[in-house]
Amino acid sequence: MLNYANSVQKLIEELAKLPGIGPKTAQRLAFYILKGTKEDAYKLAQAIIKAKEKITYCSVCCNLTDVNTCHICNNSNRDRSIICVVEDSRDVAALERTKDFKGLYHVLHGYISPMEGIGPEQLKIKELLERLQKEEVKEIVIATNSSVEGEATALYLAKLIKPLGIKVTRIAQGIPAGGDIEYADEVTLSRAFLGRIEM
Amino acid sequence: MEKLLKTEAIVLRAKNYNEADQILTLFTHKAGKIAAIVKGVKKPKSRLRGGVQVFSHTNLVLYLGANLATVTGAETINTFSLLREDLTRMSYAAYLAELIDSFTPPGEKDEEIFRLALMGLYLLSIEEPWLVARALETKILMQTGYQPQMESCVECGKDLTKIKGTYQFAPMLGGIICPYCNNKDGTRIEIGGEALGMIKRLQDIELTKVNRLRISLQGKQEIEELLEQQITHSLGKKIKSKDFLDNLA
Repeated sequence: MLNYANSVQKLIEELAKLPGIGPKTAQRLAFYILKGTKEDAYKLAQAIIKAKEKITYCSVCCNLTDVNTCHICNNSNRDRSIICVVEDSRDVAALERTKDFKGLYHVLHGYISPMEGIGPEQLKIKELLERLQKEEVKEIVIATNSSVEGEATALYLAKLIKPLGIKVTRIAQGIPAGGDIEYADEVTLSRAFLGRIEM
Repeated sequence: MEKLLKTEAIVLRAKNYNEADQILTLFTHKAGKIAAIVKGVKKPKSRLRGGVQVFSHTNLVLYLGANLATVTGAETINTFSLLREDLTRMSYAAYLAELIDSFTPPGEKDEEIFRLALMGLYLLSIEEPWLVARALETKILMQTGYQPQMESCVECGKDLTKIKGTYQFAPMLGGIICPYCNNKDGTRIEIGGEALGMIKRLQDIELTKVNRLRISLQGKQEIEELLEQQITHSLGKKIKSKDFLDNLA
């Protein structure tokens, strides 16, 4: 299908490879870029290249960073005795928005999924265990998703870390803010009851 | 064709799609295996999320599109919550789900497979899972027509109940070879009388009574290997969750 000049077609094809972008959206994005200034297009291309070239894993928490140790691990005001384990760098950003957690993070970059053949060796679990040997950690908070894969990952980590004598906790689960009890499933409701707090 | 389908279903797997949607693989009571999209399920206020948890037994309303159904209503019947509290049980449930997904073609109603899936998830959440899993394997193989030939030798046709000794299982031939036809073919596995008898019992026994059976460690290893070979050979691929289970042990 060559309805456009080769370079435009190539741009549409490359954009369509991005997640959630279908051919129509790719076309719209490509024309937006072409309509903009040369400078804007150059800035976008540079930003992609720079991010791709500079971004690496933090040597401590495995979060994405452009320096050796990320700004959270470098912050001396953070509580180093508590580590929150998350699936993805985006989870770190979400938790940081709450401003409630003052400890450090560890990013697994995935989850255990028996059906997809994703085992623990494909995640940053070895790095976490090495970290636990080096640092004096009192508590691990497991903040993986509440999906089957997230639960499998949490159970696996708990099985691995508990024998080391470190307290392992799981973030609370229950009714989301603004959610209806009527539509909650039994697991969510029973966990909401287990995690009830005195008023 | 009826566009709306109200049916009981078991959620075999869920794959993230777009920002907040998921594509589910369902095994429904009325229409067999169906792929269905559930929109906005990852949003905190989703009213469908409770009813479409993986491994749950649920009442669904599906709008049947040309290629993909859409979940428009969901109400949980049972989430088998104990499966989510134990990694081994959860892994067995994942194995069962993958087994059913792999052995069943889309859109073919099969009430027996639906019953096996439901009973299987229930028993895997409360019983010792090893024997339950083996019984489920034999019953799924039987129901889908892939059960190995266990009554007579696949080479000479002799009745195996009348021959004592060490048998061989030949996945390529789809059954058991008697001690007289045994040879050193590397693809065959040795199997004793205990394991052979036990597989036949697993085919017939009620799933709820399966843990009454007693079997030696040697017998267990032989049964597991035979069924794994038969499944791999029938499907032409390995079940991924089985590797995970083996590593867990």
